[in-house]
Amino acid sequence: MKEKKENNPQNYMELKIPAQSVNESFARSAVAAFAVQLNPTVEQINDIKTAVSEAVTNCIVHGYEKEGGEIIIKAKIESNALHIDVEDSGKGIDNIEQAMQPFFTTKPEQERSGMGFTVMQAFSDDLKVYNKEEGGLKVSMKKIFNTKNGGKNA
Amino acid sequence: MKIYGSLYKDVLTINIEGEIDECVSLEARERLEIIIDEHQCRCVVFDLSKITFMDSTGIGIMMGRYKKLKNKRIPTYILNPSPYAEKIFTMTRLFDLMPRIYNKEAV
Repeated sequence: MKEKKENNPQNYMELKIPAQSVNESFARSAVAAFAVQLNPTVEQINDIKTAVSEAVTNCIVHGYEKEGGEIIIKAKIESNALHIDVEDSGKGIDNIEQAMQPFFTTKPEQERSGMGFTVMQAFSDDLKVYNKEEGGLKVSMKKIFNTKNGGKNA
Repeated sequence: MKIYGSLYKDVLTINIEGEIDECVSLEARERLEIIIDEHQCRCVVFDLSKITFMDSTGIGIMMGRYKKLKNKRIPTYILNPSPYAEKIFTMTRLFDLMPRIYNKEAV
């Protein structure tokens, strides 16, 4: 059986938005729309939207503690993989390993599930989180789309 | 996002529809508190069939409701979760606390 060869050209996009809750829906839809060229399944699109939503929400709630600021979202397509970077110039994370533990939250009084990073990890194929030298946090996610329209969740 | 409730034979069914994220979370919590406080019931069924998006903020909201109802000894169930709700509930194991049902006769 001939394998359908997807020759995806290199493509990228960059989005800069104020860290306002009203932008969460827009941000996830924007990245999802960019990902359409990879022929994702409905489930993969939803995974992307959810992962982006988690990262953007973290910037607003934790990075800037709802006091404004800017979020930069970059997405890049390179050999059937979607790379997404979400970064802010907020307060960063003191203990990243601890922050990434399921159910760990610094704001339990706000009924936060503490599952943001866990969800990002489950819905992407690779997740890297690091404090930026100039301050703030950068979250890098990668989602692989194989030529048979598969990837991790196929 | 739309949230509304109905009571039938001591079973309070709360329908949550649309996208649940941090942006609507305050409004969602307030609506849910009002509906729950307004009705006497022996169990609560959350109908999530029309959820079109849910991230971990939604999970936090549901966990909060579960805990408050548990304190009042009121069990909670999830009715016909949409694929969006289903995936994140499964991933966070929230079905262990709030079992999935497919029709109200089950309770």
